[in-house]
Amino acid sequence: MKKLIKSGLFLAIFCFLWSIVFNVLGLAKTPIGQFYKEKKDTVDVMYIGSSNVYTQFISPLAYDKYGYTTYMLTSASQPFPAIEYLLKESRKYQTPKLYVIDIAKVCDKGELFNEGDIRNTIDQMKFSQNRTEALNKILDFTNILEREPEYDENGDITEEAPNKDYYTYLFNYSLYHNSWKNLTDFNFKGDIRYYKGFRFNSTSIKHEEHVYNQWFDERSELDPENKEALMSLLNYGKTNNLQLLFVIPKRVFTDDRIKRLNEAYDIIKENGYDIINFNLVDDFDINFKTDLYNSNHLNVYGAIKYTLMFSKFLNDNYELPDHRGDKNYQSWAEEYERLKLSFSDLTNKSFDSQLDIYSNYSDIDLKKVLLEN
Amino acid sequence: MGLTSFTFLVFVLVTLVGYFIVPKKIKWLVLLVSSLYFLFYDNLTFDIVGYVLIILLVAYIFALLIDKYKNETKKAKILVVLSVLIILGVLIFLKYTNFIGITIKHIGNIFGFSYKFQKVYRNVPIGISYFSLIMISYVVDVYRGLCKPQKNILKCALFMSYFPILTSGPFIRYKDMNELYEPHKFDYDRMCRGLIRIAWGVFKILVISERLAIFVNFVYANYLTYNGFYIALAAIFFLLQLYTNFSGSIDIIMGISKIIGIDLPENFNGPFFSRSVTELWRRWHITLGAWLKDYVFYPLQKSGFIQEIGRFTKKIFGKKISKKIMLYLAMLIMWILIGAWHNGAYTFIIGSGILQFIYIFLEDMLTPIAKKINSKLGIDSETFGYKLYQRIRTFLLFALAMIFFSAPSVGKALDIIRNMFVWNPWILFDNKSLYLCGLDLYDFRVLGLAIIVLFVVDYYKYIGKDVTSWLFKQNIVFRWIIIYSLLFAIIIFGCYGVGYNPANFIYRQF
Amino acid sequence: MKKEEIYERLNNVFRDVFDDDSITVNENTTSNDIEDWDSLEHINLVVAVEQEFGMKFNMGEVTTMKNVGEMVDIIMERKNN
Repeated sequence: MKKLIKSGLFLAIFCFLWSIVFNVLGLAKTPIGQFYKEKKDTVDVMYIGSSNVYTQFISPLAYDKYGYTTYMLTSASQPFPAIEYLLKESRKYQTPKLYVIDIAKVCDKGELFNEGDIRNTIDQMKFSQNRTEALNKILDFTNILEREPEYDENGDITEEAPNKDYYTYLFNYSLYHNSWKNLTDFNFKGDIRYYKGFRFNSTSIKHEEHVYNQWFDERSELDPENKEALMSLLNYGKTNNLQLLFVIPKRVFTDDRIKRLNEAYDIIKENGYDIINFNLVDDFDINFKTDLYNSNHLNVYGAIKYTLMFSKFLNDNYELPDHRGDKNYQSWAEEYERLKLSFSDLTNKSFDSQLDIYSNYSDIDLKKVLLEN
Repeated sequence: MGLTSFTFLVFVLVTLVGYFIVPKKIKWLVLLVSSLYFLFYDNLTFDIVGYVLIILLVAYIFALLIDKYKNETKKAKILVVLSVLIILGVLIFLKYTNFIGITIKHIGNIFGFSYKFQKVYRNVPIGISYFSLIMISYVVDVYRGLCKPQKNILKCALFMSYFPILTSGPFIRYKDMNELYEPHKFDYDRMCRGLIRIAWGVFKILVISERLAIFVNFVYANYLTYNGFYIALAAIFFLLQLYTNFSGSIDIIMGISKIIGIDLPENFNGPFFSRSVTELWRRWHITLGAWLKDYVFYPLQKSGFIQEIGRFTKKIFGKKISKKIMLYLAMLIMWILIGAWHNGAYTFIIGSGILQFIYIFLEDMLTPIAKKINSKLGIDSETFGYKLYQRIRTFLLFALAMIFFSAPSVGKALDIIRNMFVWNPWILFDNKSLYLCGLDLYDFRVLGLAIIVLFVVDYYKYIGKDVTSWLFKQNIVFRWIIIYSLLFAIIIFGCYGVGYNPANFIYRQF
Repeated sequence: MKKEEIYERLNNVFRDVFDDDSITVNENTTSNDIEDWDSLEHINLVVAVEQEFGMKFNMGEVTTMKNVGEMVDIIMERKNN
């Protein structure tokens, strides 16, 4: 009996030390990893999706203007099937009144995602059954365990074969442990470039010939696995009586993707949910000389436009509380201040001045767009 | 399965749990099933099963027959020779066909025959180089009356395939392995000692061996650019890499076997504190040396062939020299075989064979001369400084020989050695040259510290003290601090995961 | 053959093989007690003993004998049967 207690104590201390080590040396936490730090039941809106989410919506700004909290559960190149599991994950800790779901990736097949894309999402999640299920689904979707390396014409490797050992995905502690060599703020505070899930770039690219596709009205079938994931998500929303709002971000899409997105649009509407296609909002005018960080993502100026427009829409059309002044929500105010400081350091302009310049974006009537389509 | 892989961990856990929960009478069956699983893991084909069965059946049946005819020495002798030849035949067929073919081709070329030889790739059972020789020792020991044959073929199969042995040995003797069949109860203390040993082995492999491999592989792949002291350092690192890999593997399997309750013979005993290459081979791969001594060296020395040469040379050179000639002839043959056992390639026959023989021969010849010089010059050979010189000399000689061990061909090895004679010692001190080879400052720091710890532990082994026992005598807080440090050193500094290849067991291909 | 006789002749063999006139062996003598008696010299010693007493050790005995006492027992067994 004494030996059993000794062993138990040994293991307990070991687990404790282990968790400390991995909190410090593990993967730097990006929005999904940082999500767990939010106080329970303080998030009013969960905004889930891929890179178009974290580059576009400035959640601290929405908080400052209207007082509701929006957490962005995002990762770069997030495979669409992951969304349902992220939604489930968020429900363990939060009770948001609204879920905003960016469906940009619903038109992307599994084989387009690589090991890094999977890890961006999965490695950030806490170990749980939900995470395991998400992992299995995504591994199946991307077929990554069967992938061979890619070669170019010369026979040189262009893309390494991904890790084929299932357990290195399931137990990601083995990776990134090399970060002991360079401990930085990223290790202790998480990736400080994110502000409640929002991350910005202040640079803009100069695209002379950059033009958004003319959106057109054709449809084509979704890839079956994405369709299944979409249906599952919609059913989950219905079963659990969740308020879901879907969005298609303003972005350059290829023609065949546009067709698939239209199909998704229809499916969502048929199931009784609202969806806004920002490519159809004429007044959402993106200046390709100043508002783009790269051809697929807005920079901070584009994000200001989007946030002013979208945050007002959310405030006006959904019953969202106002927490400004509440000490419990201090972190949101603090992140906003930090964001403004960071912005002026990088651009030598004041954030408030930019808000003034683009203030007319608050006047765009998205509800009309919603009702029209 | 790699010894540091997740799959192996699961395998061991299942085996251990299975072993300790089943009733006493069938515990050994659990070991048999596990061992067969390990033996045929990822390698279950007709030919593999066939080769294993041939060796098992020959050893099993002939041992029983030899015992039956033990009073008819002529029959017994024929039986033992036949069984040894068959088992050796399987081993040679599986592992040395290419070597024999290429050798015949070379010989043919010398005489002007052009003989085409197509290399064959054969799938071999894991541990074949170990269990084939172990079964030979079994049959021969029965012949020598040192043990009774095993009547139960399944028990015989367990002896042959006991899974801890299959990766890197050690060479076990049937007469010492009764514990294999005795049921062992779970013992907490044994488990703790076993676990520590396993952790120590994993530490050696993941923190030291795998890290050194990065540097070694880089320099040897670019030795024309990274020459001189780079190569010298790579040679030293390779020896350490080989040692930590091999002895680390041994530690892991010894620890596992200890938890089960079966103690296996040691293979290493502080080898780098040896003062001569002669002494080193009593502390390095000990069970291989023991096997060769009992089954090759002694029989060879006592054989008519060697004794005849002895009588012949005694007439010409006198007793003393003829004794030496007998000794060294037998030894040369033995070393060539040791080299060949490592792999059927000239690099191994030279590196871990002939060169070792030359070292030992020269040490024997030069020691009396050295003693004379020392006494004339008043040099005390028992001082710390002198012993240090001997140890460094031994280590460097061994590291030099291991260049052959690691090179793909003799020509390459010689070229690498040639390129070592470039004078560039500044690379060791200029604070940047060393970091061009895949390891940075942090890696070197970790290596430095880890190697110091390694040598401290090995020193205590060398002087005969058991570090584990010392650890268990300490108070619980200190003991746990040491253990946690070891575990977290592996977790934080170990080379595994994305970006690292799974541990490459240099001795595993045997 | 008596034990004392064996030990007397054995002493001569040891002194001859190891070139040391001071060697005297008893039943507990092992290779640790004689400086040059290692695995390399073992066979030379065994062969010399065999020649002195006109008998042969088998390989099992050669590899397992632990001390001179065991050696003497084997010699007695061979010579007295």
